[in-house]
Amino acid sequence: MKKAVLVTAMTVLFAAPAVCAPWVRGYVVGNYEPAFYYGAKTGATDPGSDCPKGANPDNNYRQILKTAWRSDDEVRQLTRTVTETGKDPTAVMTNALAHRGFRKDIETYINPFGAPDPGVQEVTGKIAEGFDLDGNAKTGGFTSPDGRRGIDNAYYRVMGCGNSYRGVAYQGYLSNRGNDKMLEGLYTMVVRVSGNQDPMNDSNARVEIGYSPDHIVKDAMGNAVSDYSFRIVKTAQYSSLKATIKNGVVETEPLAELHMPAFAWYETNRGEAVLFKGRVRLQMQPDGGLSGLAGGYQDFRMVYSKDTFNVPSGGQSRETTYYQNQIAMYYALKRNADGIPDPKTGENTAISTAFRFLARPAFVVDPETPAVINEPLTSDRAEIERALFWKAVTTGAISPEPARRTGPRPQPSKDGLQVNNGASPTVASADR
Amino acid sequence: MKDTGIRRHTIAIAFACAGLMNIALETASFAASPANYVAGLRRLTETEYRNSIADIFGSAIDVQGRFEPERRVGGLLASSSAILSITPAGFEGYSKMADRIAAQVVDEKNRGKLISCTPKTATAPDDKCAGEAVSHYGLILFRRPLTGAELKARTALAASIAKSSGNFYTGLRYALASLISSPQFLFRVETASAKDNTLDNYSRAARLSYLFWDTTPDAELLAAAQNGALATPDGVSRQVDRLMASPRLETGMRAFFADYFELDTFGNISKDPTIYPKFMGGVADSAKEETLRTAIDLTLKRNGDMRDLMTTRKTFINRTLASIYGVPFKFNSDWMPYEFPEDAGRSGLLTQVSMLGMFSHPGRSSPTKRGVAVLDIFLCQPTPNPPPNVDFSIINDVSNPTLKTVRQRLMAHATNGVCASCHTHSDPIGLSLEQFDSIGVRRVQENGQPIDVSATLQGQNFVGATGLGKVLHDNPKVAACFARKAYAYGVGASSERVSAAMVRTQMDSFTAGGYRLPVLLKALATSPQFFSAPPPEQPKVEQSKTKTAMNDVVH
Repeated sequence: MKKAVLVTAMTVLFAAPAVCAPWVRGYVVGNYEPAFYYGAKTGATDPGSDCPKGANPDNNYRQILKTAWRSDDEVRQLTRTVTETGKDPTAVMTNALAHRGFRKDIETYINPFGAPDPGVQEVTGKIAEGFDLDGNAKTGGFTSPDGRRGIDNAYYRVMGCGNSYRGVAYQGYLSNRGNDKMLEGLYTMVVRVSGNQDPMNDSNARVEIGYSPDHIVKDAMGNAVSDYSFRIVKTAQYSSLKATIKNGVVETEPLAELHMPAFAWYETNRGEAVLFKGRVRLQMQPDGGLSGLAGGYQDFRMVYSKDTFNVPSGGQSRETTYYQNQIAMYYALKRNADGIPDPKTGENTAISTAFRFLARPAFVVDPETPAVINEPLTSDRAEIERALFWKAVTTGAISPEPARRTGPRPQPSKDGLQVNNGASPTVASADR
Repeated sequence: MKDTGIRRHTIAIAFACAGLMNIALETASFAASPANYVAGLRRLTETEYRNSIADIFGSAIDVQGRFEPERRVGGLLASSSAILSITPAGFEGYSKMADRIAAQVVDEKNRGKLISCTPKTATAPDDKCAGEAVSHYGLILFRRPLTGAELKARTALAASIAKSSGNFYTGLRYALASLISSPQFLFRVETASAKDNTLDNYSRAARLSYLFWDTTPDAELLAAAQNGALATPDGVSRQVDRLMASPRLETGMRAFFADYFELDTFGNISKDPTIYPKFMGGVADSAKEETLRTAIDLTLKRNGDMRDLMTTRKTFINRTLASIYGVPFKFNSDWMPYEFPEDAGRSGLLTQVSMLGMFSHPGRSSPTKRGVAVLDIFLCQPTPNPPPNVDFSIINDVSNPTLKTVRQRLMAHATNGVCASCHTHSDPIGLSLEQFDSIGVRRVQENGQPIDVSATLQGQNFVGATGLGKVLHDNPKVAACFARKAYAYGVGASSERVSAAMVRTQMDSFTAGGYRLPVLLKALATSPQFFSAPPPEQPKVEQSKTKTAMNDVVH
């Protein structure tokens, strides 16, 4: 016995030190979506532990359009095409849906507080993916699937019963759509993890997350192909975080502002996501891939603004296509905002959020020459409306309605991406 | 000798299929003058056709259509060009292509720069202008001046159609189309002098041009044919030097290497996407390009030892191939030079995606296919097809619990004496390449078992691809096979019928010159054998039939 102990002790004393050598691992994200825990067995609408009544139902347009200043007969006229002729409601109701406030002249997407809160079915389940952003296990109201308490993911609480988001991981409607678009070249998100000790255990590692100008390539099965090379460009969608790795789990330190590519399914809603007090957790997978979670606080007004004013038809398409009610969403985001209080008013301006992703092994390299960046498309109207909304929501004063949009709609470019309204592509320096 | 008989027969078939009896008659009269005879017909390959049209009419002319399939003979497609004809359906395709090309040449956008003269009026025939255009393009399409009858026939055709259509350019379009669809263009008609049994000057020009540039002779080469310079060794040497000094030599050698390495095989293979998801669209083209770039870089740009193609770790990769090789790609251009590290186990072309991928099964590697390919391509040792009653069940059972590796399954299979005779030759080569899967990805295990890549070839023990590369590099048969195929490619013969005597002088120069491709090419093109053209013999069995066909055409 003594001999055994001695051998063990000597082994410990004289064991060769762990080899410390610089290492780097790259990944390309092939699946990406808001981290919304799904509590049902199947289907977007089925009741489950997350949403006991199932997903939010389709909008009742007669109810939505009914205001104090609009008669029942007017509402019937506006909604007749939907219920009686079955025609696309967007064309008929576009103008009407933007006017359902306390007064006839209030553009209610720009001034959502100018209409009553219609309410929305929020997540009532107690399980959520995400982070304990405030370091308080008693707040947040969620426990993660692996037992972490105090998970802050209020964005999930607001949107998790949304018909378009709900579903098995990476199988919801918008998730499928977004991932298809990503694989077809809408945008590329890459992750690079590096350190000086061991990829599975490193106390001084670094995680970079960002945009790549290089399209994802699909393999013969339609997935992101492994081992492809991608440049990572230090744009507004790039962040570098200090991290530690224990048994293949990478945990970063929080960053005041985590910038990364936004979850998107359309040219005009891609771009940068900003997560205040943002952090990342990564789990290296046995097949060489990576699963990841990025979390932090999003400015709830930016969430609303980007969601509502990003397509030519405005918030109406969200309501008529995705079964959302933008006014209800605004109120729910505001009500559930749980971070970054306004220094003057003390009201929270941001909402806790988490995104999850799956990534394939890739070579993530620094560009040797400046890389052309395909900046996300926007439109003059969207920019004007966002500015008017921002002014309204920060001042509390009703913003006027802008003139109806003019000019051509964005057109897809030859490579399947949208052109940038004639603007020149931005060239980012490799060392920026 | 059988080939020459087939060749003669082909002449008749080709002309008969073309349905251009008059033109055939003219050709026969051109070639069958007392001092000349048709020594051979070589159907243009697709690349030769495309390159020729681009050189004659400009690269903006779109060539669309189906080409007749080619067949590999003696390891080369070029060799089959001498025994292939054109089917009636194929001729229809060539006719349509010719008309589309001619229509583009005379359209309003192009006629100003492609037609050197302007008709007196665009609504009526103009024999002078039409004759000028037909004569000009006839020379470069037929690779020799048109005979008087040929010129007259096309000019008359142009006039007749111009008159009926009221459009000069419509007439010229059909006259040009008849040139482009003529057997004189579609086939390289090689005529020889009965005096010394060597090719005439225009046939020499074409043989040189298609070997070095893979296209029709340029004006200078045609002039050298016309003024007799190609009849002298000095004149030939000057033209060879000029052709080799041109950057277009790369085009010609790419065509040769594509044929020599059998890169067209990619057109007939597929991979199981569930096993090899990385083998998606674009991989095959990238792999072909890698091999061609490697060969051109080593043999031409760096003037290296051709045998190093077996061992070099230097290659060229694009983003797609970088993924398969598992290395990062730099984005400075679409392709980048890359040198594999020593421990990557890579050895020249043998371990490129092209060779490993082409000679594998859809769902697994194949030491036998790889071994057969190496023997055939690099050693000129073709392997007979397996007998029809072979039982492949042992080899195909990849989930056999006791025979986990291909080596084990092949050894079990080869206990059959009939199979063993061939497998003992091919399998050691292929087994040494087993650390690369069906698409060329490196692996060290199969079904959890380490892969044994030791092998013995003709008494030499070696390990893995690098060992095989060294063995082949030092095997004199590799260089000899290369020289033999280069000759066969140039003259359109089967490499299996090329005797040592035919390539002895080239081989001597090649060896003395350190196995440099330019040395071999110069020796080849300036050797007396390169223009040698013995008269074809009538096949005894089919003599009467052939005679009838020829009579139909020539009389």
